[in-house]
Amino acid sequence: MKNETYLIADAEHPLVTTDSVWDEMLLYNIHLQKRETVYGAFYKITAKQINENTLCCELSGGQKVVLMVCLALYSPATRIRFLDLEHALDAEKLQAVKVLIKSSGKQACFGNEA
Amino acid sequence: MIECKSGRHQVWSEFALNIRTPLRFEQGCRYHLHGDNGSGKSSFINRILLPLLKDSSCYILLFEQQLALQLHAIKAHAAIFNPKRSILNESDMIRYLYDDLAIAYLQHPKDTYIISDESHYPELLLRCSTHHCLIYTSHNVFVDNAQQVRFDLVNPELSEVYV
Repeated sequence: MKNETYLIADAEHPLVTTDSVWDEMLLYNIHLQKRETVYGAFYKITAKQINENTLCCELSGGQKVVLMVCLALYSPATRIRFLDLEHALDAEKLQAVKVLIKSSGKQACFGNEA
Repeated sequence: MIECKSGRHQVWSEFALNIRTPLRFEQGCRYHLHGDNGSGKSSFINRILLPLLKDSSCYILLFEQQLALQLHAIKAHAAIFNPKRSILNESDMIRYLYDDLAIAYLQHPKDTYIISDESHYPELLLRCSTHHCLIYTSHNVFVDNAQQVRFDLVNPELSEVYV
């Protein structure tokens, strides 16, 4: 872990903005071509349709966390540290999120694990 | 005691909660609002329960979903009204709020509702007096003797709520 840089994705602070999903995508530096992929990954887990105009404040607590995970995985970050996912998500969504993380090919770790 | 009426409640323009039977929340009881993400637990608290409580004469101690954000507000409050009290983290904040409630309750006893939305700080739930009413949501914390209030998502626009 020493000298390694991680994107911190903390379920206690899932989103930065309360405005549109578009603003949040800008913060994560999501490539334009990946927008639909983010929406698709989010829909696959939550069954809720979103787009760049969706307001983050309209999402439930768990949906915000799922969106955070999707944004982190499709951002340019190569190493991501996920914190407190298990407290915010029900068992089914937690499992779905873990599958998504695993299939992303990104270097991901959870909590304080090395 | 506070009662939420049965029936369909349009909590958002595209989302409703159908409460099958009247929900009664009584002093000295614990209630666990239980359901999947997006099933309307927080919407129930914010759009139905809190407005009802605000219209009644009672104490409300609300722990919000993102406790870390609430921490900043409580730190600011303590800095002005109780500057000797050090609040460094969420646990300090929980103690501070419970102490504040205890003082108010001793001076003017009233019905008291402690509401926690997805907190994972056990002390928050354990500190609740047995005289008060505790209403909490959690996916993985279960308080002994808590009555279960289920939230079942029927479709993206409707959840059924029942005991």
